Amino acid sequence: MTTTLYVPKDASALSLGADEVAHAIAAEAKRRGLPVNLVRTGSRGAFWLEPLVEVEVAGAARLAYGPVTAAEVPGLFAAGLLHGGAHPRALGPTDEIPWFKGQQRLTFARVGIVDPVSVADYVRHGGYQGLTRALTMEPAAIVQAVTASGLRGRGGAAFPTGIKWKTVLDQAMTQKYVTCNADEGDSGTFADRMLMEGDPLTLIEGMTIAGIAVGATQGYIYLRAEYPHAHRALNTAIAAAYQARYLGGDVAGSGKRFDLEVRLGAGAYICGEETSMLESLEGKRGEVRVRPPLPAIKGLFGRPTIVNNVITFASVPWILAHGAEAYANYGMGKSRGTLPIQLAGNIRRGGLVERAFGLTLRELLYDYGGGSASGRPIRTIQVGGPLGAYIPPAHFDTAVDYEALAGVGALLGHGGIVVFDDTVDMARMARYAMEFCAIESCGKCTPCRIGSTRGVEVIDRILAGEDGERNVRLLEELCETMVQGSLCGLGGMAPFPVQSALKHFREDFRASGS
Amino acid sequence: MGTSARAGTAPHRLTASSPEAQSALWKGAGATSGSDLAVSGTSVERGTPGGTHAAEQSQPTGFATLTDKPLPRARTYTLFHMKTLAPADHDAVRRIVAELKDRPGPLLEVLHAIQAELGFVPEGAVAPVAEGLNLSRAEVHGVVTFYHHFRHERPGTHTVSVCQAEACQSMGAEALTAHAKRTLGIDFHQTTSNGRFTLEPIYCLGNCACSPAVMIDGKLHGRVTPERFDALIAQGSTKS
Repeated sequence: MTTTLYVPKDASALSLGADEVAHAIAAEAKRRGLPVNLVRTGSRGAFWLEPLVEVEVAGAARLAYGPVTAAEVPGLFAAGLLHGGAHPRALGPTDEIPWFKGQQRLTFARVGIVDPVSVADYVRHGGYQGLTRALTMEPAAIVQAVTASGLRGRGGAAFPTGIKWKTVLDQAMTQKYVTCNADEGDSGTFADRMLMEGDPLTLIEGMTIAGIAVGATQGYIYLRAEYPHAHRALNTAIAAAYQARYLGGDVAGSGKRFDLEVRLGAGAYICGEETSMLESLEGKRGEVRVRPPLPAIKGLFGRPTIVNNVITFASVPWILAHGAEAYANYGMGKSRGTLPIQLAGNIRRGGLVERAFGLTLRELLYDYGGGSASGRPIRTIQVGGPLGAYIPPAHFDTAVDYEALAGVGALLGHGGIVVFDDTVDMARMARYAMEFCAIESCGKCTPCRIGSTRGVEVIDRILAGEDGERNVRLLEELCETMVQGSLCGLGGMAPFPVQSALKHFREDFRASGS
Repeated sequence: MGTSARAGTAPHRLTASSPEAQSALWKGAGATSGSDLAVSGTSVERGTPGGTHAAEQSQPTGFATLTDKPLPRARTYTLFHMKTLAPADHDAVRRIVAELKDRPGPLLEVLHAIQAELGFVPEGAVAPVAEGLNLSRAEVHGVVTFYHHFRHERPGTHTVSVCQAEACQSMGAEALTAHAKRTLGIDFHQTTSNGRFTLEPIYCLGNCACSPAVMIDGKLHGRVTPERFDALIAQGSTKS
């Protein structure tokens, strides 16, 4: 009998040798004359266990082995891998591993489980139920369902998705666009990448629903060039969706059209800002636009345009399939539903944790994360990417919730958490924040373009011991100017890590060596 | 950069010389190719694009010049974009433009296709792209130089990108970067003298739970220690 084995093809798993493990399994099975069916999936998200090999034993749940190296594969076969045999790498049923067990995977329900580019497998695991439901509804009712779910933009701005969609729906123009912001540039985030590689059809379905809802027939996924694996996965999945007639001139037999294509960015962090992304999609320099007009009214090529993040779109199929209320039942306060949180940096058990809003940072860092990778005390975490504040341990009991984090002067952003142990030099991190802003500034507004460069210089002077107190005050003023005067979030938020470092770790801002 | 740096392509080996020495070498190479550019650029009179007048003057410009002296009859501009392409490359650029020009907002697509085929976006590609897409050369040049991803020089056989972002910093990216520069004997945006490796900074590869991350020719590597880095480079030194 043929045994089915699952080995991830996710870029992170590959970076730890998943391909070598897959090849070793195929070779060892052949050598032993054992028939195996090797399925390459996305990652389950427990990167501390990657490469994670799963085996489907007849009549039982999938059993996990990890982290596996290629050299261990012959030994695993000798121990009876294909029958779930005992081995030091054996972890038991995957779903029973405590790290997975408490998770609430709605958006990531299929990631790591299905063959990412098989429409049949997708449908077998509940895919396209949301679209099927949406096609029976009036456009306004679809938008109303998204509004009622309480879904807010997962890219970081947390704007209510339904309200954005309604604005586009209300425009009388015939040509409208649905665009997906897949320019996941924040350090410490990889949820978009994992979803695009592990379950791209969920994103495709979400965008298709959006198109049907607002009357847009063309969609674009703006993908960062740093993600070649996601690029291949998306293109393959889009071709499969066309083949199965879920894209094109007759979406799922409805007679409605929706076309979708991937456009590659070119290494500009600023293109994660929505108006800059639209400029880039139009083939121009990614300089931000002055708002208003909003993209929902005048967006891509001057037409009404939905711009949403990957996870926002990927949350929509579940909402349509299970109902807005079911989604809104998760979460706390004004943060409804679940959030895929990414544990990154100096963390022992890093990876993707999808949970309803409301759990605390401490639970994430210690219960899921297991503390720092280095074993040293965690000194700070940066939440929400390079523009997010540094949070000290005193605030680790804050809930993962947009408003709660804002209450301690931080932001949730795209849900990435980067962990630093006590060897971190916060003045250097503050300097990096300014340096990064200087490198990535689009140059359109002065506070961002010039301010970031001056910020680096002022911090350098502080560290050189030149008039420390006065320069710290100058740095604070400069931050204030950038926050108040910048055109978009890059210059307007780049001071956040600097200000938080000054506030919580001021002792680091002194001349080195003193 | 590339041409002069690679002129003396030696049997492949990693240069053991100090970064300072390499850097000095580098600057020398850069200056040479810089002047190459200036020489091969064509100066034209304003309003006569495509003209081939020799440079009339090389006086410094700037506010002082403009206010103190009467303006010259016609100011001269050096158009680097007139630099020509090899015929095969020119054909490739024209073919790519013809294939993609009718797509909405095609410029980035065109530049990606050129870089995929030629390995970089040569300055000489700007003029045919502008002409083919009905854009000004300034617009095309503006886009090529805005995005970090587009290279202006031919890269080495292998491109090594070391992530510089926060998650990787928390796991020692700074030390890894210093090690990479020392091992290859080059700084960021440079190519080893044997033409095998180009070193680039990159800001997040989305491998943040497996930091520090390195990408070599599109292949991602996680938890890269200095020893692992050396092993990966050794592979690249023997494989082309």
